Amino acid sequence: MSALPDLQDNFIKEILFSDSAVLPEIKTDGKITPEQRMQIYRNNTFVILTDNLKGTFPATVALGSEEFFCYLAHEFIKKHPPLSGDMNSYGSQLPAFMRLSGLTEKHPFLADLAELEWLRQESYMAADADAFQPESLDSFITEDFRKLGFVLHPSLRLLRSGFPVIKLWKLGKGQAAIEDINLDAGENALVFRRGDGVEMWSVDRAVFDFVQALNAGQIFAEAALAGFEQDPAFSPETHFANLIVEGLIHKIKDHDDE
Amino acid sequence: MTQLPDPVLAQTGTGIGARLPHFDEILETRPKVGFLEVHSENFFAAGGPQPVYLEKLRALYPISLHGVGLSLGSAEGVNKAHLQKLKSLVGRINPALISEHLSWSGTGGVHLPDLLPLPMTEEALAVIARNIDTVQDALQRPILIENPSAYLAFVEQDMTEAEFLTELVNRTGCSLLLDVNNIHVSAHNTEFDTDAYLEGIPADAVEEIHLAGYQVNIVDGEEVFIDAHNNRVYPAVWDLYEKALARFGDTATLIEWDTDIPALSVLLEEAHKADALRGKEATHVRTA
Repeated sequence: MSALPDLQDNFIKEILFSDSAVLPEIKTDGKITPEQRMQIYRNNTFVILTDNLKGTFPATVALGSEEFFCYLAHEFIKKHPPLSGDMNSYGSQLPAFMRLSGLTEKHPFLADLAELEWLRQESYMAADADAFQPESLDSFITEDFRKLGFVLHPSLRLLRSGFPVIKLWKLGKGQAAIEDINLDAGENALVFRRGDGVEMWSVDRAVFDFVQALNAGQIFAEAALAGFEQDPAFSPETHFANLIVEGLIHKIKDHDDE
Repeated sequence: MTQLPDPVLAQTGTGIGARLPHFDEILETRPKVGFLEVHSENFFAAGGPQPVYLEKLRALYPISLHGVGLSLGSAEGVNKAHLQKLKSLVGRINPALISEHLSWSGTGGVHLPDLLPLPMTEEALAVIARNIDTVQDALQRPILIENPSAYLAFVEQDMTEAEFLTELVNRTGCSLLLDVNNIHVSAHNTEFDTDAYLEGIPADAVEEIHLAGYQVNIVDGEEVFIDAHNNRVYPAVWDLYEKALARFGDTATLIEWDTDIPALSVLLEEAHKADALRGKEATHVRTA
């Protein structure tokens, strides 16, 4: 018999790629063959992982069709099997796989939609953090805080898409009508956790760049400039206040956050 | 949230596997069950609603953390990041029991979401004993090891599964979680005698028993039992459970149901059946 490392390596190859090297290690007595016995394990793996991906990417399933998604998942699982026993972390590479494999070439919006759904998953699982609560919002924002950087909520994720990803997500979830979708109208998405759910805001480019800069650790004044570059009429104070109210500012950045 | 001390689970009523669709109903109706068992990996999230749910459940019931992802039988050892997440969860929840499986799931960085079979060899025994030592050292407490369902047996075998488990207990000080349904399923699929299996298990080591329903698939005209956790407990498994109780004495017992999850009342009916066989009242629920 192979030593255990070889046996386990061959077992995994049989499940993922139908490589037959492990078959001589399996008892042949009994009513079904070693191939049929391995098929049970193969079926378990692909069914469990496909169901897991369906749960993480429900709108992508809905808009791409369940049959297509199962085919996509099968190819993805072979190329990118899980790397850990924490199945909540499985699927991060699906959007990139969709783009690189060419499997969604005819519907390129699906990869962006899948990326949005993965960001929703990350947001849902992200750490908790207290919201920054200045004693008075008005006095805080009018003071000289422009040189400060901020730590944003760990659940915040950002996605710029050439497609209307949030509207597409709502379409996939039955919360929007197809007449409302203009595939050429891209959306900038802020994704974050609110209560037990995940919230998505569609924001203009100035707000997106402002939040992205803050999230990257830039001080308020630099982040405001990023917004002004997109829109001279951009009001960073107003949008910063919105972020505070929504609990998306965790705290003022200090040296420990560098 | 204040955590009250746990009772000894064997002295409580039968527990149920708590799954997401039932969390709200359990919290609202506080059904009389002895304890709740959850899959550890479902609560690895750094934040968000999942850890909050578990803490609320923990305030009402003793919790058993049942892992499916440590891959204790992997020749390359235990995934340190996974173990660290489990340790962190154990620290937060202070569970009454922690359990994992006599199986492996990955090698070479790949991890499949299934409980894959180990050959019953001296080599595999040394590997899993070493990995259990690593886990118990990290958690600073013994864990329970569950017999999985098997769909094949390997040509090379130095001992039976019961002998393997016995030796594992001797070498590591772990306890056993005996899944009576899995014994029945494995015995059918790989043809061994269930009574002899029970006889071979060291009675003092069994701290918990699992009960679940399986599924019958037909392959080439032959019945294959699949450990699907999607049914009520089969009569033959209840019979085997009674034999297990006779051999091991009253033991903490759990009803598992993971696929096509039914109404909570169905799980409670199954738990009450087990309570009746144990001569127990379904009593325990904390008053927070």
